[in-house]
Amino acid sequence: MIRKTLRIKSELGLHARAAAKLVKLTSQFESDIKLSRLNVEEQVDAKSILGILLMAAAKGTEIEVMIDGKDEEMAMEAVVGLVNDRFGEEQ
Amino acid sequence: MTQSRRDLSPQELSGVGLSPGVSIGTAYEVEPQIVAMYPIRIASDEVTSELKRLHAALKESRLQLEKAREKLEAELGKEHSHIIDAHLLILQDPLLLEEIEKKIQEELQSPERAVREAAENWISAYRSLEDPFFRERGSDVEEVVQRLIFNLMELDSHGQEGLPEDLILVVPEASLFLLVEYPLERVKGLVVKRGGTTSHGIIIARSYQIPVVAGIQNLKEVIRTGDTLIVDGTLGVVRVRPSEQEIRSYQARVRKEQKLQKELVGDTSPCLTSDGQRIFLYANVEIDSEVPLGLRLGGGGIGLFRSEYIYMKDKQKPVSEEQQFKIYKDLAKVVGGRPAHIRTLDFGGERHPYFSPILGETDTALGLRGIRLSLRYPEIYREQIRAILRGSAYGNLKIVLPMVSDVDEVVQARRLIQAAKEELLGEGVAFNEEIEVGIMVEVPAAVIMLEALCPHVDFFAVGTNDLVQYTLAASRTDDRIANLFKPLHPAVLKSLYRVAQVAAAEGVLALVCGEVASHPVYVRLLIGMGFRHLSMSPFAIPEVKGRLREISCLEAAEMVKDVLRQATLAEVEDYVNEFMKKQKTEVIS
Repeated sequence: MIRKTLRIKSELGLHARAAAKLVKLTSQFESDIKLSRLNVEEQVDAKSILGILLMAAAKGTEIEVMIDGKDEEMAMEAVVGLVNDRFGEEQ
Repeated sequence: MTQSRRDLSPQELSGVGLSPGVSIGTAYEVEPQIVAMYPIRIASDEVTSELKRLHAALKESRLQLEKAREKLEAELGKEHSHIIDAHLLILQDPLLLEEIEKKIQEELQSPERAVREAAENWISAYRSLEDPFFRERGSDVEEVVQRLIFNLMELDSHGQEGLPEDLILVVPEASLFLLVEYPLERVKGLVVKRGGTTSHGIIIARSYQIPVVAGIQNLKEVIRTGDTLIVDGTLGVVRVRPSEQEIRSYQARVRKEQKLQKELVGDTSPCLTSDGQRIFLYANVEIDSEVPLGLRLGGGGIGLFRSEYIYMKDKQKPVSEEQQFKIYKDLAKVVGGRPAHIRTLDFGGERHPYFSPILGETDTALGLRGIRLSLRYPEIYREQIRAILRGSAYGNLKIVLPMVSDVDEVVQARRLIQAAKEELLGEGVAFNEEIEVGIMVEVPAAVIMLEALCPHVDFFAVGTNDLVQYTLAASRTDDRIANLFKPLHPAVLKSLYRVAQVAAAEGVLALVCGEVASHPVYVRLLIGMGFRHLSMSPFAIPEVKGRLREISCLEAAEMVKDVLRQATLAEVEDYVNEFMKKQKTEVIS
């Protein structure tokens, strides 16, 4: 299991379009991928758009990514890339 | 993420009782936008086939969304299609799907029910979010769920057989559609979030003796389909998931109330006041199935036959002349020599997919309704008039023109009626050439111009609900000004008094149609003003008849004189309360 803390930098936070991109990405991996707000116990499934949106992560929110499984390294790299790329939003 | 857990303990919700009586039954939350009903439970040997239906509906929904996305991208470009992407992902959400399947497999819920219940947990979780942007995503879930449920129902063959026999509908508001579309014989009660006492759905519920409790704001959080409910429309209380003991004690009350009702019904003797004046009582009916009941209880005939429901039968276009004719013919045959006053089309706030866009979205009360609509669309009117005329060959039908505010409207309408008569004569079709035509007196302009209207009408029908609304410029559906919608207001009383006086002087029959006629004080005032023809909800008739036997017309006239001297609503109410206290009768305020 690997974990990493990331900050949501996109203007609208982890909104519907960003969440959709994230789910499409995470669904490609076999590993179990969970998210939570930093220091919050409740976790959401990163393959569930309903779960992700319910985190209501606005811009600036710090989230923890926890990945467990065979392809965890690759998955983490992809998730970090997408989040740091501000979900591909144009600036 | 934890989802909000529902409290399953027994609960009591208080609201307002809008239709008396008690019933026990199974809660059914009516789907917004969907009028048909789906089964709540399935049999254990249906699990496999029902899961198959779920997946077929999921697939169908996905195809629809993909098609919509294609169209949107072609027309507006890629950046707008992401919302459909989100819907597609909600549809395929692994957590949601797992919950739905579990409910079908383990709890034997129907797929529709399972989808609704699984989604409702998410929707309520979204509703509790603080950030308005994320909170709003609950409506995306709702949209997806509606689509999925709709597709499930398209693929279903259960029909109504999967529905319990003792439905208690749980609805945001009691529209007329509700009671036209649902299997009324199975509806034992209504629990409504909001709705005034005069909404059409409530009026129908009353005449069917379906108990109604309204004004329960948090019903969505507490009540779920399948829960056992006790609806006490007399006390305005709903008991959710009651204990066995509570159920037993209520069952005893249900039996007692049913016995009492049976005793009241069946008295068909004429209605005389204590000083021997004959009062004619009629029934207001919303739909044709109420007619026999209205006659059995009222005897005098149908005082107001609202024709709107007929138009509800077809939502795509106006109902054809033939369809209408069949209904009016049956009505005429049932009433025979007794009058049946048919009010021509008058949509006032009821939603109708074909007519609503014509009527306009705003201000339906002050807009293109009643005779205004009919004169603007004479083709639609012509079909209705021809159907009524043809029906009049079979019994005593009368035509009532709604929303009249000017003599010219009556003249024009009569011209159209005359033209329809000549057509029928030419076609050799039978009808009553002497059919009476009257108007609704419900717009203040008609009250003011009453003398001028007399030569053009055969009778007046006073619509008290609208007369109150228009005289006081107070909508009857807006809860915030409910305190202004007061039939006892002196302005309303003076208007009614004027109608009674002018009608008597000109020799025109005046009939009062409205819920006020069944009010213990109001009926006394109406008699005192000189009205002798009253029409009301069928089930109010036996009680009113009993009350009228204790009223003397002379005394009532004295009371009217006193009341008309009062200048404010508060003074009238004080006077009336004082009077009733003396009478030791209970006052419904």
